[in-house]
Amino acid sequence: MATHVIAVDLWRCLGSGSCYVACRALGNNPPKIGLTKVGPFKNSQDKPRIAFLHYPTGSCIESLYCMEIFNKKGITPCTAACPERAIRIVKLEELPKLLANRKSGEGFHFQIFK
Amino acid sequence: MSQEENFLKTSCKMCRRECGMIAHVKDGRIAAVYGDPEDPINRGTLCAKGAAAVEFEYDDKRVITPLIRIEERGEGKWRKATWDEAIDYAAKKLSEIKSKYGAEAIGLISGCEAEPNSFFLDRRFMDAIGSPSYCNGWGLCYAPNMFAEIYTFGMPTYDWLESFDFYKHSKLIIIWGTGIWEGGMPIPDAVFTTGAKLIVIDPLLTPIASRADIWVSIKPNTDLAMALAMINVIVNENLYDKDFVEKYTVGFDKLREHVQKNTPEWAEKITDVPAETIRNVARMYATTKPAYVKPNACCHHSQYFQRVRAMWILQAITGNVDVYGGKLFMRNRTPEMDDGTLICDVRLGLRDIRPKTELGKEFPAVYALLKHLQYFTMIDNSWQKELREGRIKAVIADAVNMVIRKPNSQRALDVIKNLELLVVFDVYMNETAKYADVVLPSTTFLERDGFSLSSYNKEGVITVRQKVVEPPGECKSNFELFTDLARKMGLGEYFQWKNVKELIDYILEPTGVSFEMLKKEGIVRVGEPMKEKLYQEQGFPTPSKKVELHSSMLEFMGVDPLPTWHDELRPQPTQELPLILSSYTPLRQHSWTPWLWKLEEALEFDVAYLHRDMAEKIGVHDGSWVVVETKHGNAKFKAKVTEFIHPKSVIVSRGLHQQAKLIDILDPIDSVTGFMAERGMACNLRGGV
Repeated sequence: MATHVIAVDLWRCLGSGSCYVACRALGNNPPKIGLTKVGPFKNSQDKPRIAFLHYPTGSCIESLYCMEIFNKKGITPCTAACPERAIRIVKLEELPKLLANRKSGEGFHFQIFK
Repeated sequence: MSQEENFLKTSCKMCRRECGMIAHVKDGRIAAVYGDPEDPINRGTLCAKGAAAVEFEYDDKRVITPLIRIEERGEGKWRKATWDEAIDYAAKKLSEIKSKYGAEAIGLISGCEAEPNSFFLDRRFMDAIGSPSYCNGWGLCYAPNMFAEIYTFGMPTYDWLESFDFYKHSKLIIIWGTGIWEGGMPIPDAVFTTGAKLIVIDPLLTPIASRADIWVSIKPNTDLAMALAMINVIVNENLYDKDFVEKYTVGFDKLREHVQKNTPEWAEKITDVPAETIRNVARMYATTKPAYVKPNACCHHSQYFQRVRAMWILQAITGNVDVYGGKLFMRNRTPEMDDGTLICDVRLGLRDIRPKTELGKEFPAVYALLKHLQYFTMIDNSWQKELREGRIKAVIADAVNMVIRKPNSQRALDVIKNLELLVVFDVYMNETAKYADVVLPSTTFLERDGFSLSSYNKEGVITVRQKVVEPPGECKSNFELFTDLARKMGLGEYFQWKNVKELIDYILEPTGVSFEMLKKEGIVRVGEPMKEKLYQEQGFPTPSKKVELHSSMLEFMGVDPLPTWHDELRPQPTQELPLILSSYTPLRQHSWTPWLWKLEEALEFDVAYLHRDMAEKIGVHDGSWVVVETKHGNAKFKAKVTEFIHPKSVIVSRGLHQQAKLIDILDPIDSVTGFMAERGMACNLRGGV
């Protein structure tokens, strides 16, 4: 089976805590979400801009339930909870496509899913 | 071992948007909840509140047995009772109070959590009793926006219910103070997907503001001045939509003349926003179409009504009205079928015998609409006055924690202690329930049947809400609460439904949808999504049939017919209270989410954002405690120190335990609507706690 990666789009992530709460609801211990300031970098008007990005500060340990539901439906509670659609589980070989056309500050947080 | 497992469609009720939800139920227990991909609003996502539904469901702090008070109020001594016994007790007391003081001495306040489709059953109960003392959360929420819409366009839009498919048309979105930084709305998703321009006007650099093309750090409570200056720029630089203005609006010439004094330089002195920025924002907004202004949660200001009117005027003069990606009205069905809340009130409200109230006449713009609108019988302001002055003797709190939801919390407690009867119907033993005479345990939305009309207005679909697990103990829904109470009080003729399914079928009869259909299909389409530019055939339902930039109705009532800046209405900082208090809305809803510790762990409730210079001055570090003081009291918050905030403002999390100590629902208020104006109050900070 192909290796999968959890990819958190840090440009989309606004730190709602939805993934954290969804993970907690399963009885798991999700990584803390830390607020990190990055920048300044240029925006579309060439003004310096600061962004707050929410990096998950560690790795998650997928529960049996996450594996089961991913195999059945292709989602996990955390990916489906995110209102900004910032979390995706993709195949390892799809990563270059995901990273194409990214600007400074628009990074990802990755973690091997299984 | 084989396991019974189901994926059951329902709709979330952790807030009023009611996103489609799928509950994964294994062996009679909810394993996880997911967003419903078929739902037009959330399209397969949830938010932190929705995800917290599992914790909500299995929280061991829930009340599951009816309780009757046995000692002095507030001592926390209770005896367990059966549901019937508790209802008997409450009904007897209510009947006594009604015959002793009259029906209006019975007050009811309901939260959006009530079912079916929020508070319409509650209101029917009050109609049947004959009491006008009914109010709910609308006044603290969207109602002032809606009143401004009615006076400008003749109809409301309910624009917090827009879907991704709506926002994807917008080329520019202005998020004006709206607290969407922690998600829960499709705007960020749409902006990130379509690459639309984004302007955020907010004293604080919120995460969504940091993704914006322009972030405007405005002084709290001065937004009206900025909006007027934007109108000034758009009008004077001829950036307005001449065709739309000429054909479909009235009062443009008066508006042009009126805003001449409101130059960007004038606004700079009030708002602390550079005049050049105001010009840039106005030009960018006027020249990018379709554009959308989102002022939703920017309420609770002392000139709120006029401020929203100014924003609707901005939408109107740029022609961003009744178009996809602009401001869109729902009227592709018949008038009485357009609005889901109206259907509920027409079916459930006892409009012929509904008691009228003389209270609230000091706010004519709202009072004039009260008779015709389906939301509440009495405005918050009058309800609170009646309560505080002791004319309301008994209160039923349906899914409302009055102490933190209707501040000031100390004054709310003083009032509650003097009530002759307080009945609390809630999931938790909250701050209000501790002072109740009778506590009745409520089901969660995952334990009862119902329906959601939140996608009805905009998308023409009705969504199911169904019992996915059995309720614990004696928890019941408010259908049982009001049916049982009414029957015991001799009002059974108004509550003849045998079960909640019969009631749902009765309400939805005009739409041709039954509960069985909903349960089978999950989402039932009853009409087409909204169409744009219907004004070309129908005009606008105002007296002039046009958009009223200058409102003759408001003029008749003695209210400013054009939005006007009154500096004297703004609470002025003093030597003792030199700073400005404002608030942001964390992801929480009414009385129960402050009780969800996993949500709190993720989001940090009760925090105060302040400027770095201010923090240095008072010796406060990021994460340490800080005391915020206002004329109404003081409260302790965890300090969040940032350099990206208006330097004179302090922004605290709203609607939670601490903030409720700082503000008062009756002071200050919006001068036109009488609704609370907590934002923009003078305050001070104290460190070293």
